[in-house]
Amino acid sequence: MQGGYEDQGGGPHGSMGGSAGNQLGTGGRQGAGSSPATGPESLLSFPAGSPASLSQVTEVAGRLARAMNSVIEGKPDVVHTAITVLLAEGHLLLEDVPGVGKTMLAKTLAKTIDCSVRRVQFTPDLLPSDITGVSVFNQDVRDFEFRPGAIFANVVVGDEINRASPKTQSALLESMEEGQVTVDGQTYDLPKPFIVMATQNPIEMEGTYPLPEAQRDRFMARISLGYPSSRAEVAMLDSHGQVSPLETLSPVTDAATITAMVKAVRSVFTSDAIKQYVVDLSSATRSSSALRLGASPRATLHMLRAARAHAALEGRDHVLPDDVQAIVVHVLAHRVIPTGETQLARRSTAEVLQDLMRRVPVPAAGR
Amino acid sequence: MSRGRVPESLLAGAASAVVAWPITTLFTPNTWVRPTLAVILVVVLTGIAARMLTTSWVLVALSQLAGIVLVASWLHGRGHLWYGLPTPDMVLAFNNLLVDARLTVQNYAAPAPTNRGVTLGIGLAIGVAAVIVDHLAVMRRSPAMAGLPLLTAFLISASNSGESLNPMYFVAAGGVWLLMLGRQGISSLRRWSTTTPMSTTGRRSSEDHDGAYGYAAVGRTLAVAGLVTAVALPVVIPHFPTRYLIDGLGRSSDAAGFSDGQIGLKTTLDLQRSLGNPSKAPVLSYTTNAPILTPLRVGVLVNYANDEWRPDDADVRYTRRPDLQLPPELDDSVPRETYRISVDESRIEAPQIAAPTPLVSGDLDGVAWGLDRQTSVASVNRTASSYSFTYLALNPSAQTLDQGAQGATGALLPPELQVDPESEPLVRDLVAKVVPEGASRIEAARAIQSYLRTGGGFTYSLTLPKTVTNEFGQSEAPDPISLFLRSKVGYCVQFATAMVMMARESGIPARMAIGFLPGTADRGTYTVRASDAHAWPELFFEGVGWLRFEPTPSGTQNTVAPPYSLAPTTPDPTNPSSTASGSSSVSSNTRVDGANDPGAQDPTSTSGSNSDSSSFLGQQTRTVLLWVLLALVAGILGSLAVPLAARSRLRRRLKDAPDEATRVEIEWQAMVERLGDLGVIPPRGSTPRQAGRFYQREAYLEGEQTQALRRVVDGVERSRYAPPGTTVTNVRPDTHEVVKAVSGVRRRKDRLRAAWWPSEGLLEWRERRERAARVARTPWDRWQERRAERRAEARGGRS
Repeated sequence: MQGGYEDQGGGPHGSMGGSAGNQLGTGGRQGAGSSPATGPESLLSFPAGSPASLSQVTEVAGRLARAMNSVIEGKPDVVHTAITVLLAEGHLLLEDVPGVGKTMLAKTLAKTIDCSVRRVQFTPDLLPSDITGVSVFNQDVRDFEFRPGAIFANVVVGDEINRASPKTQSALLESMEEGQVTVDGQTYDLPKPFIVMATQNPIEMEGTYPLPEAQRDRFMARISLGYPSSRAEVAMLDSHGQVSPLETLSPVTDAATITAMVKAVRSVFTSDAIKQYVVDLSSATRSSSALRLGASPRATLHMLRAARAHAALEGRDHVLPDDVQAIVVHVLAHRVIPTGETQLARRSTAEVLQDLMRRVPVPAAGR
Repeated sequence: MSRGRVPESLLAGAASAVVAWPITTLFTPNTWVRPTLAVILVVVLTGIAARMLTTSWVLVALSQLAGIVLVASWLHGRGHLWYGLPTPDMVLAFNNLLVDARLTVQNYAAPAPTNRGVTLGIGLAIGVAAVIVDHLAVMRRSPAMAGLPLLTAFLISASNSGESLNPMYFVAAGGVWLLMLGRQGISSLRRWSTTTPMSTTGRRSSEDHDGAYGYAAVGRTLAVAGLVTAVALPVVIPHFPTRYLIDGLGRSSDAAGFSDGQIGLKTTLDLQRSLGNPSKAPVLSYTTNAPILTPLRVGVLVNYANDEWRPDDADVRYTRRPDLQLPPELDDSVPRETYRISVDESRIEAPQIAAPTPLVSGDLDGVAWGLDRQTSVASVNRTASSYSFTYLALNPSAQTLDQGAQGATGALLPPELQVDPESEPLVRDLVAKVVPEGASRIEAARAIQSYLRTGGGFTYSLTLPKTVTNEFGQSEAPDPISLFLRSKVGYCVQFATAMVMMARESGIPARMAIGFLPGTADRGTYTVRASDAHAWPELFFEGVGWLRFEPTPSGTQNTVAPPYSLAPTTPDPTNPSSTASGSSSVSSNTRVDGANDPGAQDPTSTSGSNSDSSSFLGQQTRTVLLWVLLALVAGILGSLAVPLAARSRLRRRLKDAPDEATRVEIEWQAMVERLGDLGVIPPRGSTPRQAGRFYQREAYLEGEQTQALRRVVDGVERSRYAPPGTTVTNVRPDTHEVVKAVSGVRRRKDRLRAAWWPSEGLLEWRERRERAARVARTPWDRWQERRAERRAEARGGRS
């Protein structure tokens, strides 16, 4: 294992990490869904496989948000988006200049959930096998044995993903999309829930391999944290003075609960009008003269899922166009490519998308 | 430079100048043109300069007005200046000049003489018009609005010149105005935002140009088409007589071709046409030293065809001092008196001029004139408003006139002897009955006049009968002369025509003269009015020439027969009524002076015509009121059509809705439409929730209204997006509440528009129309389809 990755979860309460790792090590069967969650008493736990109610979803999500906001100062909207992506079974791309707390956000989300967490620091010499795992010859059993890579965790924090070579990046991204890893012809399922939170520096920075469009497309949302306000920055200096707040943070939920919440989110009703609206938005990006590349069908799917999660976080059992509008920029901004003229005009893709949203009419039922 | 807006200013100035152009038809000579152009130039230049210095339109307009005053002072106020600046004295001087101008305009028919007052008046008026045009077209950037003052200025010329203006004036004015519009349109287009058009190809900039070019091209086409249509259309469509809403207001006589300003007698006389209500507008006034007044002749008509008199082409040489010769046939032995007539304020248009006959000399104040070589009718090449003539009053003796009748023989008759072929049998019978066998020419003429005037039982009426009853009791519509001779109803034109035809039938050359009766006297000045227009026959006698006869009885017009046309002392035994005719003629003769006194008019006929006209007026008013009432009712019903359609559409859609959710959706749409009618339109891509927030913000909703709005939005969201089976409550009361609340804060204009012109109603009407069109089209389509099928079958069979 050349690339340094550390096991962050799986502490005293980390039953998930341990069991998943063991199971994967032996049989390659996924464990999150099948193994009962044995979190601390304070955590809400659900019988495996049954969806949570919407009130439970909002309740747990509220606790998650509160816990994360205690660490990430003054960025409640970013935290909200991160939770939305988590519940929508998506992956998160954190893109910003160094030092604004990308990794901190990823680590915070990982720590508030009592599950297995791995962090991979991407470097130019990181190999695909470091991500996926490798089969090694076990002298005792005289057979090849699969050693799972860094990807086998509920929460994978890929730090500075654009510093690794494209080959390694694709290894990660393929497993992200498939939810499984195939090594030496053997397919191993990844644990559920499974979220990759990759951070990257803006592509103009030195020593980076920009993520190709196809791979950026696999992230459900991209978030930029941006610099904190001066008050938030002062507060940060205060809270980070003696001890990192991350260290005092204790998990507020566990993997099973998240899985149940994800199921609840899946059951959020989406009317035909909403589906039409999402499709209209996608096709609007494709025909827009300000964009060189529009949204892919996968982006459409991601939009719908994110909108469902957004609706569920508001405690609603159906999606509103407002939910869609709330997530459109996060979901689409990193997928569409502006034309040269748009860039020359210094219009960001977010602005273009906002403009599109103002123009695409909201379909009514029955029309 | 761009702040001065030079091209626009120059165009506005040019427009003002061009609409002043037709004033050249109103005044002569055109000495006012240069001062007026100077005023316009000053307005334009001051405007450009002032716009560069300030953006306040008040200052710009004030500086332009000051410029006008200064220029006017320099041009017309010399002697009242103080170091080049106007003095209080100047106001008085200008006032005097303008009073002068007003008098000129009131007293003269166009073209009026140009004096200093007129020049000043035109300059000031056009200057103010130029300021208004400049303000609208340049400062307000709305040259379309500037069309109104331009049109006003143009119409003043057009309506006062008394004749149709040359189209070039209109083309020039309209052209400049369209140029202004085009200039403004293009510059507005260029100022549009630089948002790139939706296009995926790289031809954007060129497409931009295409857009501008296309706009300009369409504009040019429309402008040219509009101008051409405006000029060409009046040629194609018939000119309708002027219509008045209520009778009796400013109506001019249409029969004689009078207009309000100038007057011209029609030289074609249609015998089938009733004379309308003749105007009392004065035509001319004159003084004369003649004891017996004669009508003033304007024209002579010889050719009668197709039921109307047609003029010959004039054959006149116009000179300042024409060489007048007495008619060559006039014998020196004929007793004569020379009289003088001085005419003032004549409004008869050139080339016509009213003159007695025969003329000895004339003074037309510098206007060139002459006598027609064929008819010796006087005519002028330019309207003469005051002139004087000396003329002869002939009183030929019976012996001179007593010449044998010439039979109407030979195929090649001179036009003065041609009888209208249609009525000739009747005229021949009549002549045989009226004119005694072997009568001399003058006896024949006298008999005919006497028959028409008194003996024949003819009635004077301005309204002609359409038909006449024949001996079998059937009504017939024969040619006008026969109609007149049988119905015995007509006015001067019919009487004169009948006499001309009967005289020609008797072998006396005869022609038709048109002109004016002597008019009414007021302290020695005689005023001839439009209603004095008259027609009479002139008969030719060897040794005398053309003599006037007067067959028209003294009806509403005081027609006086000349003494030579009356029977001598012994009554004619063949005509039993000749005594009466003679006495009546004598009595009317004695009334000559009294006839010119307005008080001597027959009181019964006056009151009769008055009561007639008043009852006619009353009926007309009632008809108008009825129409107005009908129009009002139709208007009210029409204005209800759209709101009612909106209501019925909503009700129908609600009734057809399958479930409550659809009903909520319909209610929501109706509410959005109604709020849109009220002027509250949320952005296009708004979700219901955003639209709700927008309404709340725009209409300042609060309290219960906000709750209602929230319930409506919630209902819509549920109906649209919630899983099936979700209960949706009726939002109707809430939508009403919201609409009421929003309309409460809107302007009255918006509320009225929303109430009377709801877009839902328009949509309903459009759908109804489409439905009707579809119903109408269906059979056609079906037929087409069947035909196509048959053809396909045939082709299939062949293959």
